[in-house]
Amino acid sequence: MPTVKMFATLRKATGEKSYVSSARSVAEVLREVEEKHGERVSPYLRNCIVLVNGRHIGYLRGKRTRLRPDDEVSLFPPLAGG
Amino acid sequence: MMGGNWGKILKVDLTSRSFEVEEIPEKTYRDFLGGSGLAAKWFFDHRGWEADPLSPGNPLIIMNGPLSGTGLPGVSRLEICARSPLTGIWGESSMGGHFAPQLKRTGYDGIVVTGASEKPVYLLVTDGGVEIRDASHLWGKDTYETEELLKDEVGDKRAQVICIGPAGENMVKYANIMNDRGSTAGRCGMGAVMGYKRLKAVVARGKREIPIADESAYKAAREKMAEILKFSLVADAFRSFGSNVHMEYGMAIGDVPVKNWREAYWAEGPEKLGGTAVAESILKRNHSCYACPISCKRIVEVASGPYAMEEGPGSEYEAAAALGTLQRMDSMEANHKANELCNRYGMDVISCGSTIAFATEAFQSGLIDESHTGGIRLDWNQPDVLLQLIRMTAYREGFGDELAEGVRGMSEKFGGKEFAIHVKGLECPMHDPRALWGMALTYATSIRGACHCADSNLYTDLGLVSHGDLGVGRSWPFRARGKAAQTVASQRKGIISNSAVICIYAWVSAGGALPEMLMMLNSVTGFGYTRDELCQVADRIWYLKRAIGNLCGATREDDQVPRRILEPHLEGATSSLHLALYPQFMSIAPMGKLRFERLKTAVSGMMSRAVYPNLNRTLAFLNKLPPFSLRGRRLVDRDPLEVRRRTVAFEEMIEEFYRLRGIDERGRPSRERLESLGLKEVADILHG
Repeated sequence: MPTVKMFATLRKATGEKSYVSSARSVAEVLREVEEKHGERVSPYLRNCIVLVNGRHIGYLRGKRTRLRPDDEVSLFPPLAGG
Repeated sequence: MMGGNWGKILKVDLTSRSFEVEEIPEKTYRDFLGGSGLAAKWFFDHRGWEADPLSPGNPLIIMNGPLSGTGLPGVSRLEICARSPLTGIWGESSMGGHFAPQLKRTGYDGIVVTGASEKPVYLLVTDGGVEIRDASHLWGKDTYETEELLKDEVGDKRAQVICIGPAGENMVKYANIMNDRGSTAGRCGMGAVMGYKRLKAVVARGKREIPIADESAYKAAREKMAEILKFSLVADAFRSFGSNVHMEYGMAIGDVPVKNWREAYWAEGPEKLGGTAVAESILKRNHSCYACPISCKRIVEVASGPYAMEEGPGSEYEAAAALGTLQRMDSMEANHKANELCNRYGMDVISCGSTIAFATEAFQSGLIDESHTGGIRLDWNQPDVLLQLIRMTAYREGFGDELAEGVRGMSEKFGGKEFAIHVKGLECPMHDPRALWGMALTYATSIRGACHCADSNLYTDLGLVSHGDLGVGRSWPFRARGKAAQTVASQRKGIISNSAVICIYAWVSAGGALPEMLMMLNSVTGFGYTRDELCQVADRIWYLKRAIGNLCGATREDDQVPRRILEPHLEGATSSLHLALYPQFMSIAPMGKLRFERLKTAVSGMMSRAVYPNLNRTLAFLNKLPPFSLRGRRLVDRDPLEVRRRTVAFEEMIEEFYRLRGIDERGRPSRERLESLGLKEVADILHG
């Protein structure tokens, strides 16, 4: 089962650091998180950066990227630092 | 009527203990805005480059901008400038906190301090007058104590203090100037300039109403900015976790330096030192600078243990990295203690951490041994040694006297130039050009040396700020094509923010676009700037500062970035980190009208100015995307071809930058370019 990790304000909004998901694609992960935590996480999810095993889904198949059981999905909201 | 400024600055000569008021013409404000732009103009007009950094002739220029101290969000800042003792060239340093509004309300736009006092003094500036007072009783006190004592002494808790600590008094080359305990003019050793002048502090207390040119437009601008920041996801991230929120994502994309920039990826680092970890453990509350709705500063407390610290300012991202990951140190408590010591002693955390990391690598490679360090063994992840070295540096005790010279000074004495990570003598901030190629150009071409605040490349490469409003499309974070144009656009925005003066975090959180800046500036000043005119102002300031750098001796050879941070890492997971970063433009606002208005403006601006006129180039560029076969490949035995492919194409980027900026073979701006911006007197001196 893939592991989903949430960071920064997304972690704050969901109150969850990580969980084991039954999703088979990135789109399903995003839907799953939204269903689980309601509309308050929607703005973060709509703008978030998704990495699968450290790679941006832009280099994979976007939200259609399929997940394998040992995959790690990282969700980062928009953020800056310096 | 000109708003936002008073039209005069205070000049203080510490040698003769005299002061006078200098009137500045309105045209100068219009042409150079304020902040570091106006400071550079004053420095040039008074031939500041002729004085050595540590000599009475070097002017210390404390300058507000037109926005400083008004009620707009993020305008707590001012600029402190002088010839830098660390780099020998133009030095400037931006400071937040609460000093800028108090200074503005005294009726002066800035203070220029020349000369040097025989005894320690401090300067008291109010709207009722100016005094030079004895500070012998404060000499030796740290910055936290000094601030409290001075507020008591002047009998006004609303008075604001900027001061130096023991590091400034001992002229540590990267000593800083502090306000509000955690706000610093950190870079370029401005604290050492104060220390040389024996100026312990400046205290300001003013009560005057700041003139605003167009009150109704100003009110509208303030409301619009407040609304944008209220809904900004980036502001939300800053508010929740501080600037150190970047640590986790930064590590994922390879932007956070580890072990003196040797190692690519250290998974445990963010878990121990990141902003989220701090929020879950030692965070007590948020703290904000004047008039800031974001409040990114952290107040922390380490209640017990060897690194106990009383409630006070915690590490921001640069401190968490420079005094944490750069030392490969995994103690959050020690990191915050180290940050507190740097604050108290008055030392720049970036330069201090970088110098200690350099010394550690020099020790590990045998260039330095225990005979130099006084028996101290330097190694990675040694919190106690780190704290000891910080103390020794501030007081220039033993080996601390060497560390106080900075990375360049140490590498010239002991060797190790290949891992001395600085540009023009200024230690590189904690953003890795191998992750964000734009940072290589940022470091190389920033006037003061390696600096991440001189432009917005960091945020552009991260996908938060677009330059569609300046007709420049984004380039891939790890490709050379388009980086020079991006950097020029980005420098314009950086210069405007450092001259206006407004916090880069507030502006980036609001999208970093010019329309908002024009709205704020025009409402306050009444100058009625157009986009093109404001860009011209930014260029005028950039070329003036570049020329000052040249007059201080900087040439093209100084625009070099160390190979260490251009070539793939020596240790760790060296490949595929760049595949964590994709040129995705992230919306700063979550939903609703605001978001779509901004998106519409950004897209239409970019299409009309960048995409359509360059359609052929855009298509050609798309063909250059990284080939599929690169995915997941690892650097095996540092295969030379692979290393070359993955090395930042710095030469290509900087040659294009020189061409766009009109820089000649000696690194000087061309006469034509200078004259076209009304800088004929600069051209005459520079080109003879």
